[in-house]
Amino acid sequence: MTDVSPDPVSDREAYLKAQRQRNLFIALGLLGFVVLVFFISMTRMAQGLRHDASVRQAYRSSVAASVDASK
Amino acid sequence: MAAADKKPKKPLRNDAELVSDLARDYAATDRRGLPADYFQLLKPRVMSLVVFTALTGLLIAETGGQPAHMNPFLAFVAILCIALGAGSAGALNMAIEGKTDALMRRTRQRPVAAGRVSQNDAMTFGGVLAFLSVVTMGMALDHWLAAGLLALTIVYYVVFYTMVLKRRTPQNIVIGGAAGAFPPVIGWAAATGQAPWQAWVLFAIIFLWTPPHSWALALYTSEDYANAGIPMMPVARGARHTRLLILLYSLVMVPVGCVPALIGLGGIAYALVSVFGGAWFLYLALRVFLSRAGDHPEGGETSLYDVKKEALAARNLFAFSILYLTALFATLLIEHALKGFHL
Repeated sequence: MTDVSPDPVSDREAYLKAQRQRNLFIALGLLGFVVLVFFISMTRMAQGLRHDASVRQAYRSSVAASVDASK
Repeated sequence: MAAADKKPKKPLRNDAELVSDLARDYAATDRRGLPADYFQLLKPRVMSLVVFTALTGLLIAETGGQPAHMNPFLAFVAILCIALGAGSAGALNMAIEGKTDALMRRTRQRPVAAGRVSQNDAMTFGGVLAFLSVVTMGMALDHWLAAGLLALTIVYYVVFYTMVLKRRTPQNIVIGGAAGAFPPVIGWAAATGQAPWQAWVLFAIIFLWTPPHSWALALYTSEDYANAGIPMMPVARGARHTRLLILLYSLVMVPVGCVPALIGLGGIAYALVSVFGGAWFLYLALRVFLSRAGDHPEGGETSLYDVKKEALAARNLFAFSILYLTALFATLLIEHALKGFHL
């Protein structure tokens, strides 16, 4: 499974280059995950606000209807 | 005399030698993987089929007879999590199967098998992705059934199929195929929070489709599996028995493929595709049964699709099986999309 390069110095350069690329992609992955969590939170909060507004609206309507009925 | 008895002192190594040794160590640890290698660990081709079937399940999901409405961004997150979950299972599979993959010409260029990514790195990569995909799915959608099914799929594929079944029984692909059949159910659960029987019909189609699809491939790559010591059906029970099983599974799978048209999930287009596509599938399965595919396993360095004449029937069934499943799910997807636009 292991193939040892015949040129160790260039192999080390290849290793360092691969390491830099991996580090960059890990950083981008983490950044992407943070952005994703942020937008998920915003979306869920917006859904919650819309839900609360609709519940309040329904409550007001039912109160108004019961007041009308009692008159 | 005393000076002559002394052993010659080992000379100090210079910087160049030290660098050489270091480089050799780095090479020996196989840690030269590029991001492209890590992407390959996710099995992108398998992932694309998983995404496609999961998207179908998500978009055709109904609750109480009405189409489920889902925030488009959260739908995207659900599909992303399913894709990454499937990818994580692929990475963990490659980490575990590195040595076996190295023995098979179909898989020996995979990153772990070829030594470009170490087993530990592949394992860590897959484990982190699996955890993040399941947790993000659960927290973003608040549908823990979908997250639980995604976790079950990963565990089923990695532990039950890769570690337990694959090397023990020629029925490995039959039982293990369930892992590939879960995505439409996960998609449905992501959209509605439920997994009703209609979703399991989609599961059944993929579950029954997997054996004839995989065995058709195994018929002309059986030598590869034999070399790696994997008891695929043609290796363990012979080509003739495998050809019979392909026909029998196809006879069961094709009618099940038509069921969505009967229960209202699919419309006229789906009925036509499932009936005519199924008929062609059966014809190809019959040709495999009557052929001598797999009787003389392929040897040498031929490519995957460069097969002997006697194995052409198996190759044709393998290729058509992919088209058939894609066509079934694409038709479902298009019909529901058109319904959404009231067309």
